[in-house]
Amino acid sequence: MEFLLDAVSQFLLAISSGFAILLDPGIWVTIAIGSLLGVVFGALPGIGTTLAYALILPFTFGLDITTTIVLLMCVSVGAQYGNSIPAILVGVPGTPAAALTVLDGFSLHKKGESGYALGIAFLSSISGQIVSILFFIAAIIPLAGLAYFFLQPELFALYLFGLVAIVSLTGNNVVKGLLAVGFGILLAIIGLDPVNFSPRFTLDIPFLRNGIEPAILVIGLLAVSELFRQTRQHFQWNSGTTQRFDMTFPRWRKIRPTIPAMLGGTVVGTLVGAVPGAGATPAAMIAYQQARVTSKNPELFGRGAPDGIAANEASQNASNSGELIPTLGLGIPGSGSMVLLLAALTLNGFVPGPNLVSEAPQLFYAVVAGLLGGSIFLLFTGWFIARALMKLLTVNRSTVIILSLATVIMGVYSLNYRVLDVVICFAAGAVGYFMLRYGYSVPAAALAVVLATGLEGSLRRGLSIFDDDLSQFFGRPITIIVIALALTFFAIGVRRTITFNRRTAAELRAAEAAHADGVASSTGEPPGGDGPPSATTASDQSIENGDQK
Amino acid sequence: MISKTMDRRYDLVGSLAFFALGIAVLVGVATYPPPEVVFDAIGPMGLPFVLGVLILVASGFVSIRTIIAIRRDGIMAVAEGTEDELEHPSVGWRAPAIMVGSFVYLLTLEPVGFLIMTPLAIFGALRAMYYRTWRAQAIVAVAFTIVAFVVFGMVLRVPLPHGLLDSLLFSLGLVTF
Repeated sequence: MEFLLDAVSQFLLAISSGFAILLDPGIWVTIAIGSLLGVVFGALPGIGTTLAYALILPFTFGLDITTTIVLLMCVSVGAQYGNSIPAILVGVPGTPAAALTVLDGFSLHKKGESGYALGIAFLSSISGQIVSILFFIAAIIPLAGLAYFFLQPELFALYLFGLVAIVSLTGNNVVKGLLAVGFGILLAIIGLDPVNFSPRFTLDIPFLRNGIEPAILVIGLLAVSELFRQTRQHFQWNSGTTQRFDMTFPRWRKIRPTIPAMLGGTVVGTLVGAVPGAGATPAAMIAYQQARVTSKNPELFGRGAPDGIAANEASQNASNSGELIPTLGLGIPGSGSMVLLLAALTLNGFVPGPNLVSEAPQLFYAVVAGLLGGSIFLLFTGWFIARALMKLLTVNRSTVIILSLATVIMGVYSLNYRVLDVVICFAAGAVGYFMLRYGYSVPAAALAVVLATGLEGSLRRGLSIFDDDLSQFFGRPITIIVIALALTFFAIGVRRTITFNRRTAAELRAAEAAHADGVASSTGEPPGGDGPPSATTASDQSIENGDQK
Repeated sequence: MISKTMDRRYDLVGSLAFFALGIAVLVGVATYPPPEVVFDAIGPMGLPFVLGVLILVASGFVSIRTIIAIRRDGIMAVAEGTEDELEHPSVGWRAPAIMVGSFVYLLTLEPVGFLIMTPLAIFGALRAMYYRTWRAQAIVAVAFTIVAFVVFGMVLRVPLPHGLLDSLLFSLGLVTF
């Protein structure tokens, strides 16, 4: 009973402390900037939360940690809402998570019900975000209470679990994932070692003696690599948003039937978002399927179902809160954006791990304030922002990519006023590009960069405390449980790799058989008919030309 | 429809690069002078040794598997990594060209200067991306450079490399540091 009362009082304390931060009028400027930037970055196809974080992060190093966290949280909230705008109006998802919003949202837009689709997306995003904050607080409090059970062996097991989980759940090849982790740790251990303080792999270069700033490497691996990848493609899409369309906010009687789907999406989004390596896209996929299964009109899904938009959008925003649970509660970030958040915290002197919230509760309260503030700001302004951003949908994506690269250069240079930092960031980006293209998990490498010091330090210091006795170090109950979990996740990763190989081989055989049948029964008509060449055709043609490098 | 879009030869080059990295790490471990005082049983080269072995074994495994796959199934394979977005045609040379261009820009930034190199670099990159007309490319390049110079160089007082324009910028009073 006492435990329950304590938990309730901590729950209320978290909410009241979050609101206390919001009482500062100055923080609302940060909230407004963060939310607006978030919506803009979300609405620009190809940007998304991770790239938005990477673009903004270098500019936050002069700010205090509360302002930084509030800003980043508002960017997340805004981005998950903003990505629905091009999905509905142009049929191009702002981020992969909004891909299913295209199916129903764009269908409604084509039927002349743009306002209905945008209104459902707007309300679902905001309500999903606000409700999931409560789940987030409820999950963090017990995790923070466990922090005192975590000594060096448990910390080591937790760091190991984080790395294994992200290797197993991202990418299709677990061996390449392990290589990515090894590479990330190797980059992070350049400089002085955390116990002896003797230099390692510095090649007698004075610059390397203090190691490479993790934030620089992480921005290179996660953001620059993705921007390089996008430069491969030729973007010509025209939005067609110059045409007039209905932007009337839907009436309550049309919104009410979608509430169960919103709530379902919120729960699914929070739970799936909390799984390391999952994130908004799988959350949206699962929530969409769940909404279809429970819907009274499943046949409408894919052809303009408001329930589909509601579940999808609510789950995306709820996954923001879900991703924060392992990040703040255990120090294990589950996505690229969360790795960048931890990199920002590390730069400010905070050590990622389960003690983060208990030792620095102000971080927790700042997160609550940021999520709440962003949601409240968008609740009152989001609809008008969506209307104002129509012009943004006509921005050429090629320009966005090049100017984003230029902004990364400016941001990273501004950190220490060193061109060498930018060179290292872009070198990490070039390696990350190769890793992205050939199936080496880039998030795993980035996470390894952030967790490496903690991983090595906890192992070496822990063994020293336990007189170098491995059985004492690894024999502690929580350590055994967490390592067993890590091994289970590793087994899942191996199974995923085998399944991927078998499935692609089977699909390839089927595709080749279908192609052979098509050739045999060909009547002389080209496969694409008389229409313009499809994108697939264009892509295939580039393969034949040897362009896919 | 599933299709073969990954060139295994590049995949092999990558895994062999990792293999070479593993060897380099183990050589670094072997030639590392042992510290005079060690505070723990593992020591400063314990983790690098494990990493070297991990990278060597894993990259060796991937390389052998790739060589076998090339001999058995040919050069092209189903992509294991992030594929191109199917709705947009891909241009294979452009990403490496942008990378090389970025490094050339960064290496010339200090000697030549921000105000000269940045518009040239952005103009070149936009041309490579086939962005509208050359006039639009030039306008975007110059506009970004001016905005970045005002915001970073003058408002935030970030010391951007002046290069060849150093004395001119001082004499015009545009920079004071």
